[in-house]
Amino acid sequence: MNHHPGAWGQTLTPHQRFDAYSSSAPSRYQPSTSGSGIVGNGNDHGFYDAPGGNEAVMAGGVVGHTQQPLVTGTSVLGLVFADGVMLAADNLASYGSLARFRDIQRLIPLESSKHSSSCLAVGGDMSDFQYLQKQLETMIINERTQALGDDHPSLGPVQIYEYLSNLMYARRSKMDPLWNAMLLGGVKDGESFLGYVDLLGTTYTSPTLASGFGSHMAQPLLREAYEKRQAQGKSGEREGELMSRDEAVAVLEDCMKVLYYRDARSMNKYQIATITAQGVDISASKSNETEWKFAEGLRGYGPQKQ
Amino acid sequence: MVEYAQEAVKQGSAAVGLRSKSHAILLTLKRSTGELASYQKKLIKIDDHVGVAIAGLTSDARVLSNFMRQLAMQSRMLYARPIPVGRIVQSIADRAQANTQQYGKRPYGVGFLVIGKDETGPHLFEFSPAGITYEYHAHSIGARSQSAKTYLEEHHAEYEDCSLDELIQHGLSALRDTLQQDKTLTMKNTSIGIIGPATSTVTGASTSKKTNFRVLDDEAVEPYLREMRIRRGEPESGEVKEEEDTQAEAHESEAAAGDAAAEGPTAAASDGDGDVQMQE
Repeated sequence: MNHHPGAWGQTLTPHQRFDAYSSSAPSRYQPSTSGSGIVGNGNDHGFYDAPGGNEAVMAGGVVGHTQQPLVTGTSVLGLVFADGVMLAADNLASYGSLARFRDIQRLIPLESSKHSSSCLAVGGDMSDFQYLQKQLETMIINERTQALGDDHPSLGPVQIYEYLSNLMYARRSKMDPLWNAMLLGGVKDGESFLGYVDLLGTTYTSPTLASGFGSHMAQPLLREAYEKRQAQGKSGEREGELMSRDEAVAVLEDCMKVLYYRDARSMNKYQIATITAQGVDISASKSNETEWKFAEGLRGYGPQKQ
Repeated sequence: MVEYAQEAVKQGSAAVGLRSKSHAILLTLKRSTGELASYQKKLIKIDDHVGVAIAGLTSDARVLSNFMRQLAMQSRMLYARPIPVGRIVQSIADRAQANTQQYGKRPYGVGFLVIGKDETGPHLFEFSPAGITYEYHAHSIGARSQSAKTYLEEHHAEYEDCSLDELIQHGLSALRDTLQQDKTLTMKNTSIGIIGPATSTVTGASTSKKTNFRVLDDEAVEPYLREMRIRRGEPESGEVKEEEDTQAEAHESEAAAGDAAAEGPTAAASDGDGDVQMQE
């Protein structure tokens, strides 16, 4: 690669374009340099941009790593309430800005036993999400098999979260991250847990959490509601410091509505997972009433009057 | 041949383990090769919540306990969970079993008593070179361990509700039965490993608040040995006397320190006396 500013935008000679250490597959849409464009006719051994053909060969035998997400899910939300934790995610998996798959469940129940229950809400790359799901299920089945022998309580949310963050950090350290941001919610021995992990292996926990766009739009709303309820409890106005089930659902619905209005990768069809000591309950898909009348007056929306 | 390996375990000095609702303990008889040699360590800490007593080849025990430490750390790092005791024992058993059927390999010549505490409470396991593990309320391995077993079986119903002190006394009685006629338990040859809250009422016993695996050696086991002798109505033997001597000596050197402030040379002389006394 020639990094000199003078070379920017210049067409490269095949010699300049050869990069043995490139970790990415060159784009298949760049014009071929081998003349006829038929794979295997040239003497370039596929190092250059031969149209079509094996990806690894095109990358010069170098293994390619995920450098951008492709099919993506948007933000997920999480909230601790009186009986446990709630998670929310919509049903959309976008292909770029195209609303490509409209019936994807992004909430996965992980483990529910008499000791604990956990659930994961995932945003980001959907293929990485499926890989993650497979990894976690394998781990949990393995754990359950061992528990058959000694009846030891299964992994609680804190343990699954630790595993998950280790997995995410290990992948980012290989420069091959799993392109996701997710929330893990769970209950063990009456204790609620809610934590965030992302593609960098960054972790934090809080009674209200949101990923992606939601961390800007929804997190302030969740916090406001959470702290208001907390203050009511502290002043003795109401009993307890946490929201009831209905209150929590109402707050999450409100947040999902705000996100639907503002986040262009969201959809008005979402699910809410309720994780309590009794187990994980994932609601059917639901939508919010929305109002678009105001949009008529907006410039750039609909037919222009002027 | 596993039978030969199991024979190696029987040659090793005895180890006794007991478990109550709240505690699990190990008691071991240490050997020394001679007057000038130290006593061979028999208790190994694996993690905060797991410890083992060994009988048999020490070098094989080191290999296996290293492996157990690795597993324990792995569980803590990957899952933020102390490894369940039954699983860590099963892991070494699987490893030992593989050795009994793999071409060119030999079985481990060591047996373990493993104690540990996890989410399901305190546990006591036996591991043998054949790759078999059993969980016990009380058990013993090593030389003349049958005598200890006889004692343990006589009192088997009591352990579940025992306090830590009572459990240790049962353990010492069982361990004592493995000794030859002319030998006794001393603070030099006895080690005690404990898991569970320190609730001892024996005079002179250490009272740390930790519930982690800990080993009592030398002076720390003496209070329990004295308690044992008192309970058996035995005369307080040379061990106790020796300790009294040490205490007297300690007083003396305190006094000597006081003297030292007054006049140097005299103090130095009495210090010298103290040393001589200690050697007697």
